[in-house]
Amino acid sequence: MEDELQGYRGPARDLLQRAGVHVGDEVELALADGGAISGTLMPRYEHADDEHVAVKLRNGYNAGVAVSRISSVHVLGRARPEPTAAAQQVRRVKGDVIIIGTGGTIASRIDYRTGAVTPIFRPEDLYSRVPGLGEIANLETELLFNILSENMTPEHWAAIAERVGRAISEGYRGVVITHGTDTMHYTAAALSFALEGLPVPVVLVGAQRSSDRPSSDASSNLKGAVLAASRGDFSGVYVAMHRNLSDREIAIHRGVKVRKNHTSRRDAFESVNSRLAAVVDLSSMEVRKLTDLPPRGDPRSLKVKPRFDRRAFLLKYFPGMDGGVIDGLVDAGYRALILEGTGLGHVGAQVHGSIRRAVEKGVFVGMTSQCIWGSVRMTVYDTGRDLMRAGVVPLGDMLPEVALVKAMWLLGQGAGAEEMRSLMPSNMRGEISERRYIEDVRE
Amino acid sequence: MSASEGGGAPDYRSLGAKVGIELHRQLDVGGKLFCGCSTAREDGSKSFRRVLLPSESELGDVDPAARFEAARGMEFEYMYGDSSSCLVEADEEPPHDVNQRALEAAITVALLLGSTIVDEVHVMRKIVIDGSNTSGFQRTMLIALGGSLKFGEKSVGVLTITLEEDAARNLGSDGRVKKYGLDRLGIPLVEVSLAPLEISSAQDAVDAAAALGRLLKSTGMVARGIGTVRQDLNISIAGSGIVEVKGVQELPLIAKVVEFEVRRLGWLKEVAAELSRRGVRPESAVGEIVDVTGILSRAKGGVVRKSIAGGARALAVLARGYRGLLGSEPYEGVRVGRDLAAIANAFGLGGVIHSDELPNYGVDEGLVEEVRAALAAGSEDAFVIALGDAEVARRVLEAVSGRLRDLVSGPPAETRAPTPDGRTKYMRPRPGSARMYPETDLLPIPITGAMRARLRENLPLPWDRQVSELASKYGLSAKLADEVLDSERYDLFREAVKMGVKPSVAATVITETLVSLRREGLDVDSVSDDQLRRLFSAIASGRIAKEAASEVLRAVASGRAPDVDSAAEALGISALDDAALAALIDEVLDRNERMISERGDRALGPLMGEVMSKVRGRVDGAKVNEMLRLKLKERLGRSG
Repeated sequence: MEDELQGYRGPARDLLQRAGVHVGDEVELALADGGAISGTLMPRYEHADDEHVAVKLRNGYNAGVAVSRISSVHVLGRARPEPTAAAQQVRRVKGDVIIIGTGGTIASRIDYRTGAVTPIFRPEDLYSRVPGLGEIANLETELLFNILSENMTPEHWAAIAERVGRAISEGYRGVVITHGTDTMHYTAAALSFALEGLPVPVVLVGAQRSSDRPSSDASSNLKGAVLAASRGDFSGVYVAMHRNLSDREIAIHRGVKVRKNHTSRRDAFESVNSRLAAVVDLSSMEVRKLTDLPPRGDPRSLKVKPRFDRRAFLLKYFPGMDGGVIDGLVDAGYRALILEGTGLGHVGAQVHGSIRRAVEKGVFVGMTSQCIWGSVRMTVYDTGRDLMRAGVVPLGDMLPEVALVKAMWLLGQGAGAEEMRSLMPSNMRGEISERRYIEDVRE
Repeated sequence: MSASEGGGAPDYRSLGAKVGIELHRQLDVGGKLFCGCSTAREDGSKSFRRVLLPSESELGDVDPAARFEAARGMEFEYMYGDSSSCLVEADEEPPHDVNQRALEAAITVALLLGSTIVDEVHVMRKIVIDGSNTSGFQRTMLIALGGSLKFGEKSVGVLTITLEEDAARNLGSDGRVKKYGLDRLGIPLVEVSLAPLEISSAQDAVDAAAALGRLLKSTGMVARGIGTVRQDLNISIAGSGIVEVKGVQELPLIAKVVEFEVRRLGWLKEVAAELSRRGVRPESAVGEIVDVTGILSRAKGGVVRKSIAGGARALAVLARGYRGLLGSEPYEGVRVGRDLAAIANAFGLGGVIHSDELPNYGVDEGLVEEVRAALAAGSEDAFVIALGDAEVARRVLEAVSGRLRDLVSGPPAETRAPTPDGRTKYMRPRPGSARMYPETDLLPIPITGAMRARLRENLPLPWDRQVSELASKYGLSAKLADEVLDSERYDLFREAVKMGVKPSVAATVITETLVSLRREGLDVDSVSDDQLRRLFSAIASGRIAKEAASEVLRAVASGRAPDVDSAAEALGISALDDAALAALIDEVLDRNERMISERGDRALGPLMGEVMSKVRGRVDGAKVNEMLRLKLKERLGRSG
C-alpha cells in the first residue's frame, strides 16, 4: 500500500497525521504569526528535513512551511484519484527496428522519493514523444530493465546481449538500446565482444540532459540512433550521442573506441584513437559514414557469447602506489589485472615485485595508459622493458575500460593464461588500431 | 450593433477594468543567479543551435502556450561570449547553488512590503519554449506571499514575490531560426506581483508601478539602466479573460497600453454578444479547412494570384456569424482581423485574408461567391484565407480557428506584446499552471529565522529619508534629489560627482535635460552611458561648459553626431583653454576702454555679457566671471 504521507518523517509527519491529511489533498496551513498558506500537499523528498511541509500553491509554485510556524491544518479538498493505467496501452506492431530500454537519463524524470531525476519513462513514452520518430522506421519497443547505469553489472550486459541476439533472430534489421550514459561505453564494449559475427547495427543511446526538460538531447539522440540502426549500411556496436553543443548532428562512435569524457555536456562522448564511424545529419536525415565499417551480414552468422567473468580488475597507477594492493588482488582470486599506467605504459619500480608475483601465479597482467589518447609502447624506456620481461602484456591503444571488459569476457569464455596472453593484445572487434592518424581530432 | 464611439478615456469603473502589475527588476548582486558569470552586456560572436520540445508537467499535462510554440517548429541560435556565459547558460551543466545575495535582496523586498516569507524555498522550472531559455524553462522560486504596497493615498495588495533568472536577449529571427544572446540569461530578477487593482484611470496603474519601482530601488541592490526593468500587465474587464501584456519597459507606456487593452476587450465583448445574437456557438464557430487554390488561381492579378503562381496553396476556413466583425475597427488598431494576422505572423506567414476585406487583392465578387459556396457560407458568415506552404497554411488556419472559437465565449485570456506606440499585439495563448515543475537539480533552500532577523535589522532607509539625505549631502532640491534617486542613471550621477562635476549639474543632466530631450521626440535611449560619461568628464575638465550639455546631447540623440566629442567639435564648443580665454577677455577689455573708464566696477555686467556671447558653451560662466573680474580690477588699478 502506498504511503499517504510519502517522504514525511518526524514532526512534519506527526502534524499531518494528526490533521488527517494525505499527499494530494488541498490544505490550508494557518500560520502562528497570522495569515495562511493554502495549496496542494506535496510529497516530501526523502533526503529533505522533517521540519517543513511542502505545498504546491495555486500559481504552480512549491514552497516549504516550517512545522513550528503552523498553528493548524485544514482540509479544503481531497486528492483526485490517479488516472488509470488503461490509457497507456501501446499498439504492438512488427517493426524493422527494436528499441530496448535499460534506463538512464534518456528515460528519466523527477522522482518525488528523492527529488532527483530517476528513470521512469518507458521506451513507448519516448516513441510517442519524439516527433517524426515513427516516420523513420517501423519501430517496436521493449523495456528490458530500468536502472541507472552506475548499477549496471556484467550480468546486465549478458542479459542485453541475449535479448539482442533474440531480436536479430526475430528479424529486426537494427537494434537501439537506451542506456544511462555513465557506463554506456562499458556496455558498448561488452556487447561488441559478446555478439560475434553481428550482422546488423546495434546502437546504444543516452541523454545527458533528462528527457523531462524541453532542451533534452534525448529526442535528437534517439532519432539519430534509430536512423543509424535502420538506414546505416554497416554492422557492429555503436554509441550515438551529440557531436557538439548544437542539436543538428549525432555522432556515431564505434563501441570499442568511445569514452565519456565530460560530466555534463551533451557532446560528452568522444571517439578515442579512432575517427568517428559516422555522423547522422538530423536536418537531411542522412547517415554519413566517415570511415570503413563492416557491412551488414547474414543473420545466421551471429554467435551470442554472453558470459563474463568478474575476476578482472582495472587498477590506476599513481606515484608511490603500494605493491601490496596488487598482492591483495591476486590473493583475492582475480585472474586478470589491467594496469592504467603512466605515459607509454609504466609503473614505479616499487610495484614491479608484486607484478612479477602476480604473473608467476598465473594472473594475466596487461598494460594500458592513463593518457587515454595514444598507444602504449613499452620498448622505449627501461621500465617498460623490465615490465615486459616480468610478463606484462602491452595492449596497444586499447582503452583501459575496454581492456577490462575484454578480459572479463575472455575469462568468461574459459580462456587460460596462455590464451589471455595471445588474445588480449590481438585485435578482435576493432578495439586495437594499428594506425593512429595525424589528423585524428578528439571528437 | 453599436460600438461606443472613441474620444475620451474609457469608463474604467463601469467596465470593471482591473490591472495587475508584475514588476521584474534585475539585481546587481555580483554574478548571475545560478553561476558566477558576469552580468555585463557582451555581444558574443560564437554560437550553437538547438531545438526545444514541450515536456509534460508533473501532472502529465502539456501547457497550451508550450504546444503553440512547439507547433511553430523553430530552431534557436545562441550567441555567447566567455565572460558572460559558461556551461550553465548553455544548459550543459547543472545549476550551481543559488546566489545568496540575490536571495537576501528578495527577502529584503518582502520585508519592506510586509509579506509572509516562506520557510523553505523550492526552485521551480517554468516551462518557456520560445527559445529564450536554453533549458526550455525559466528557474523561479517563490520567496513570499501577501503584503501591501502604498502609493499616494491608495494601497494595493501584493500577491507574490519571486526570485527568478532573466531570459536570453532576443536578437531577432531569420526565417525559422531565432537568435538569442546568452549574456542576459541567468541574471537574477526579483519579481513582485501586485493584486488586480480596480482602476478609475490608467494613471492609477502608472502610480502603483512607480511606487513599487522606488521601493525596489531603495534596497540599493537592484541593477539600473535600460533593460533592467520591465512590467507585465494583467489586464481584464468584467466578463473577459485575463490578458497578460509582456515586457512594458517604461512607465509612460503603461497608461497607453492599459487604455488600448481596455478598449480592445470592450470591443471583443461586443463581438461576443453579437455572435451570440446570431446564434453562433463555440463548437459551431468554424468549419473544415478547405483548399480553394483552384478557385483563387483565377484571381485577376494582385497578391493572391502572384502567391499561387509562385507555388503557394490557398486554404480557407468558414467563420460562422463573423460577417462584418472581422474588419470592423471601432478604435484605431482594435480589429479582430489584426489579431488573426498576428497569429499568421507567429507561424512565419505575412498575414491572412478575410472576407470583410474582399473584394480586393485581385479577388473579385465572383470569386468571393465561389469561395463562399465552397465553404457553404451563409449570409452572416465570413471566411479566412491563408496563402503559403500547404502545411504552414494549415497550421495557421488551425490556430485561427481556435481563436475564432474562443472569441464566441468572450474576450479570451492570452499573452500579448506591447508595441512602441502603446498598442498591443497577439503573442500566444496564456500559459497555464501546467508549466510549473520542480527543479530537480537543486535541493530546497531553508530560510532561517536568524537570516530573516539579520535582514530585518539592516533594512534600507525609507525612500523619503534617502531622498532628503541625498538632497542635503549634495545640495539638491528635494524634487531633483527624488528624480536622481529614481533615475535609471543614478550610478552615473555618482560617477559624475566623483569626476568633479557639480552635483546639481550632474543631476540636471541625467534627469531634466534627458527628459526634455525625450519630450522633443528624440531617442535619448540611444545615448549610451559611455557617451554620458564622456560628457561628464569633459564638463569636469572644463573642455565643455555645463551650459553646452543640452546642445551636445541633442546632437548625439538626433544622430547628427556619432559621439559627444565630435558633437562638441561640430558645434564649435570644443575646449577654450585658459590662454585663449584670457586673450579673448583682453580683446574685449581693449575694445571697451572708454566704458571701463566711465563706469569703473559697474562695467563688469555689460562686459560679462559680451564675453559670454562669444564663449557660451565653451567655458563655464563662473570661470569667465572670475577671470574677467580679475582682469578688470587689474586695469582699473593700473589706470586709477
